[in-house]
Amino acid sequence: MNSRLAWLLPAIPAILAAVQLLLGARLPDRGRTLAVLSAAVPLALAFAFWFPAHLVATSGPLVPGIGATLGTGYDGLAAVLTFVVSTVALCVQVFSTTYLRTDPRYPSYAALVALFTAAMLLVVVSGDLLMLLVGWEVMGLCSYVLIGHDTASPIAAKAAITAFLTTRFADLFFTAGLFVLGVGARSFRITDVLAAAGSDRAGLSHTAVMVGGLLVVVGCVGKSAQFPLQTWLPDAMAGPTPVSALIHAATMVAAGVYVLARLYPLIAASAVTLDVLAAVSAVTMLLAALAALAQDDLKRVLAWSTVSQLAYMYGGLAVGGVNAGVFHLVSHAAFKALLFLAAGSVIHAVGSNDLSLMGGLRRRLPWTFATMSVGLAALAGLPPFSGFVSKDAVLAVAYDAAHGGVGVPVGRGFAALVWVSGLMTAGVTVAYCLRLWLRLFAGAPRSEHHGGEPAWTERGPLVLLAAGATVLGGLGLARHGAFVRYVGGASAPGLGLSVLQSVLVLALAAGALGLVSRVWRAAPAADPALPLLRSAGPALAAGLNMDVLYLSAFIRPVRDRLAPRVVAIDRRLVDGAVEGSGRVATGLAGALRRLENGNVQAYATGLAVGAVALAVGVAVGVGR
Amino acid sequence: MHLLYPLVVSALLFALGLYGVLARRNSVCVLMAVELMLNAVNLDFVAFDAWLRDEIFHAGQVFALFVITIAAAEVGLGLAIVLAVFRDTQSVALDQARSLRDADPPSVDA
Repeated sequence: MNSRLAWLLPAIPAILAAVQLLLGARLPDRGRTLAVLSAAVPLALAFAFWFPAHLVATSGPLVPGIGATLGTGYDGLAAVLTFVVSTVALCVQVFSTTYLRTDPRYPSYAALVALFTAAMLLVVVSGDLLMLLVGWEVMGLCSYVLIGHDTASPIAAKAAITAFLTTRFADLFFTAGLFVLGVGARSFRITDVLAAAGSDRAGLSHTAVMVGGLLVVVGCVGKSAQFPLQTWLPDAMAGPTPVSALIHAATMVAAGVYVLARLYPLIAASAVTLDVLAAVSAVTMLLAALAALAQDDLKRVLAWSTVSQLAYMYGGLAVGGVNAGVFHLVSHAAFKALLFLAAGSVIHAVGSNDLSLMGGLRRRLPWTFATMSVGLAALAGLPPFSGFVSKDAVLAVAYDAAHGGVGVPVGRGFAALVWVSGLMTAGVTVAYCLRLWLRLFAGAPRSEHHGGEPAWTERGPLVLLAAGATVLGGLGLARHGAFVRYVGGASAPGLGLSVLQSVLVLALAAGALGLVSRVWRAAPAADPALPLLRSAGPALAAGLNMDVLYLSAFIRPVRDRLAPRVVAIDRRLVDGAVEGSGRVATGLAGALRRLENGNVQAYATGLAVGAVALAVGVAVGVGR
Repeated sequence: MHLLYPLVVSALLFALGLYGVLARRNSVCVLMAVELMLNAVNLDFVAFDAWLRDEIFHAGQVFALFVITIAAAEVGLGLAIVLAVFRDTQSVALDQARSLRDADPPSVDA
């Protein structure tokens, strides 16, 4: 099938979402078929399009004056993302059919997930920066609405607003960045922008490339919950768990990685952009991993680990490893969606998110146990699971970049920072994965459980994603040449693993495993993280208290000092001007309306006086 | 005859009519005053027609005929209105008929 039809990918889920939103509640199955189709059809289309050898672009006029077009671009990178998005969306939709079977608002929920799928696919296939922005914003809207799905919960409402404001704040920069690039290149078509950035004489100046790239990076940092805009993602766990799997683990938060990979020649043209990206990712990956170690809420552990893993992807991009970064996106999408869906099963079985109420679930939930163990092993980077391959590929590129051998202008110190931070994070990741595994499945149950193993519609996606988390790493290595050709081009560093580094990573992992298991053996019922983190625990559990910092640094000054003044100016100046004009008009009208007293003879007198005045005026004028 | 005589008479008639229209309270008197004004104009038309010796078209006389016709129609209509008002209010006093005046001022929110 011709991939010039790539516009079908976002169009079909969008139409199905609209139908589901309008009719879903009235259908006998409450729109479950439509919901599953909204992900299955794009997956079928992805198989039909397969992997194009080169970019297949279409374009139509949208806004001729500023060079914006309505077009798609479908290449190997877009195909990889289309497979990832539609597969995870299909798993989530199938999982949700039974996971939310008692939810009265399932029809609108499924419609929004379908709309989200459409928006994400629009970002993926968009051949134009403005269309990409549209998809980007619709994703943010769906994220906001779905986080607040539980309308009875004030926490969910607050989390939705936090997520919306934080990502919108970053989106301002993102939008500005796209316009800097599009206006500078006099075209919003991605191919034109990249061509303009590549040529020295025509098109984008070096400053425009740097400023535009930095602004786009800020937008991605906000959307992906990277430091210092990371606070919204752990709060967003108030949404339904399948939504967390799709939006807040596998796809939307990773969309920034895709956008940077799509614009990679432009991003990699500026050393400043790469250095900022490297510093942000190095700080984020370690802090978020430590925060994950300190959480008591199952979903918040996974949320912080998502932040940390996204930082690996950005770290890979920052050091020139576009192939490694995108490969980590793919493998992370599989194992993190798996972990979230399995966490959903656990939460239904236990009736709580609290890790201190879990434990001993191995026998109760054998399917969940098996699949979640695979997911945690992949997340921890244990061979042969996918996380091992993709994480080590990122670290290998970072090591090469620290020695100046990758051909992108990232500072060698920054690359070394990514490498060191990545190694340490790998150790911490193993520690929190093992801690989570022990808290969930080992030992004795710590509470009365009221649920059992989930239905087959929930087990099926778990098994599928677990298979992905197992084989994707090996598949990536086996089809290494094709993947590199699709994603980053042959000039970018590939997915090479270095044996020495893998040994180092595995030694770190073994050390972390040994440390955590020794602490756990000493006190199997207690949280192994407490003795490890000591006094840093509470601060890490609160996400380094960044919320408090934002409260005192930004929110309080704005709310207590700036806002009252703005209100006063609005009341006195703006409202005063509007109301004043009204009062003046009323006053003048009051003077005039006295004349309208109903006495026709008074009117006639006015008429006569006017006529005489005119006659006298004309006579005097003529006489002159 | 000198043109000045009819013009002076006409001006006096018109002033008389204007006074009647502006100052009389009785609607019927006002209508009669309007007739005075129209006929003052008619006198002007005829006087100028004679003075300009417009032998071919006699435009002034023709216009005077038009004005007489319109005045007849106008007074018919006016008297009908006066009758209707009188049936309604038992009064022909012009300054009493004020039901179309501006109503009480609407309240304005500050």
